Amino acid sequence: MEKQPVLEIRQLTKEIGKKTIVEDLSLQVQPGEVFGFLGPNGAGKTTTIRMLVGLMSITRGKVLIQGIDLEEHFEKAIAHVGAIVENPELYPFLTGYQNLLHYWRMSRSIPKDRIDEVVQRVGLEQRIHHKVKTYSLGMRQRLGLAQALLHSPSLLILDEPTNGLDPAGIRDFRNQLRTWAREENLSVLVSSHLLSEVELMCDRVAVIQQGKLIDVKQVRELVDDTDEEQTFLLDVHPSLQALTQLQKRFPHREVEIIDNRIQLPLQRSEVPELSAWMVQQEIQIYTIQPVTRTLEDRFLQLTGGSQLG
Amino acid sequence: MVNMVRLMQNEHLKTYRRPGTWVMIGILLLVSIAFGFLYQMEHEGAAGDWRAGLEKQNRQDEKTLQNENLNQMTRANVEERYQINQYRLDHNMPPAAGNLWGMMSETAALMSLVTLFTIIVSATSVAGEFSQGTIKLLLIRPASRAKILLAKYLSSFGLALTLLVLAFTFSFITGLILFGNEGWETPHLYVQGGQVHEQSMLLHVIGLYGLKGVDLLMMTTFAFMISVVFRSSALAIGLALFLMFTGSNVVMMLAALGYDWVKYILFANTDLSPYFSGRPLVEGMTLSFSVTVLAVYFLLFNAISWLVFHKRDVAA
Repeated sequence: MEKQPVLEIRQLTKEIGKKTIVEDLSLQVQPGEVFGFLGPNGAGKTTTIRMLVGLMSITRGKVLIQGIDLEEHFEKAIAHVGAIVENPELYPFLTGYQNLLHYWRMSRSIPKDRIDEVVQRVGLEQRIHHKVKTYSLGMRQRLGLAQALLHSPSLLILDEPTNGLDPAGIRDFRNQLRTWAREENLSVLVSSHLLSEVELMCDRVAVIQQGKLIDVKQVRELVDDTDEEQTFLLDVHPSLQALTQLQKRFPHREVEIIDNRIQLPLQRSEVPELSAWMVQQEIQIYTIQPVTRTLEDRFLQLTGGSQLG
Repeated sequence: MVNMVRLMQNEHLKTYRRPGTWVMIGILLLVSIAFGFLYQMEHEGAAGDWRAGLEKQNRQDEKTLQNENLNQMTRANVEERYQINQYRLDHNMPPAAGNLWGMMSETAALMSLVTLFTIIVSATSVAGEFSQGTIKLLLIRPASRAKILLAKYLSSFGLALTLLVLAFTFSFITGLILFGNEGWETPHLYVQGGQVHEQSMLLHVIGLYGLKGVDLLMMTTFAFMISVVFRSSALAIGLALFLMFTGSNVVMMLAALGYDWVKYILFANTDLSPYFSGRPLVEGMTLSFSVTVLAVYFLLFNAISWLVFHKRDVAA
């Protein structure tokens, strides 16, 4: 039997005036999954997320959270969601604890001890009774996470969570997110325009562009798709002679020389044969190296190489 | 589902943790006290023999009333004053000038300050959430937008009530210290149906404060609506104050020019005191007419706030 998805989006559409911001978007997030939502700036990620948390109205389509219709039973459905939408904007004139108390009062049947529990979880015990205006961005981010985790949601929605964090902060955040997802049995939906980030954090990724879903893939699948051709770099000597010979051998492929190295597309299975052949041709081989296909290549390929934010 | 009381506790927390709220409370207390001293300075030495004063004024009024060409409104006003003065002389009831009650009647003007502060707090409570960006985390909770808005609206009046009680209490204490309890028992006098009636001075003063509460209720509701619609506390505060201070003057001008439709304007109805002493702005206006007009505006402002807040897409 298939498990009920934590989040199910059915043909979600948002129109503002005559402009379609999000078009016919459908996807599912499974329990315990970290799901990436990837797209260039302006692709409709934030609009989608705002619809998922009820900040924006839905023009057409449905959002089901734990099987509950968000529009029809907002209060019931949203109780399962913890979210940070863009920057975690908290009340600067309140202390961290007062901020959490404020959100605690807005959720149902959560024991008050839970506040201390999440404070500990995000590691803010030292500063929780200080005013938020004295917090660094990283601390605000932690407090933002604390408020999102406060009511033990089953779905955590994070919109561009690492915006403005330094590399160390991003790494911390990533590790923590993974741990929490496991320990709190959370499904996570993370939006990002940073491919490297999604690559490191997520199990599955949806790629969207201009409001449309282009592809949903496993991250591993996206990164190394072994069937396909990929670019190899050959460090050989004499390189010019090798180039002419390779061009003769592969007349229909793009063989180039860049920085004294030969670059050509190959299937993995062709490599042993090719090296044997080159040895025969008395070409000296120093290295044959695949250019690692990153999510970025894949992403550019999927989105037709449009500019990333 | 989420308890309304808890939502109001939240608004309470946010209001009283803002330094601005305490500055406002401080100003209100200072002004209440200063008001007492000013009143004392104004009436110093003016006490004298109140009997002689009243008798002199009555002789003048008698002469005035003999004038056949006197217009009706002035005649009615002078007749009332004459009647009350005569009642004071007959029953040995000195007027409440220069004592505790006299001062308290004047301090009802502090209600303008209470209204001002309530407008500021209520406008900030909505628009502030938008400008700080905290609206996003506020609306993604299991509480409907209607409830959140209602909690904000009600707690604005909670603050208004607190400010009102503080202003009243502080001027009362200042008055007791400055003037003692002299004239405590003297009732307030008013004329109704050609007869002089007595009323407890305390009730009279509370009534004066209460009548100003109409302005507070309407202008706060108005400011609340503007801040929901435009998400700008500056605009809401500015517009509400501008209308509060100019509205009644404009309405009076229009009424003086003889425009009858002026009676449907909000500001022609916010001052209910003429129905208790004096004449209405436009002939034929009654208390129930004004209350109806106020109710219509009240419902309209609230309906707009609610609709806009309910429908609004929270972007940026």
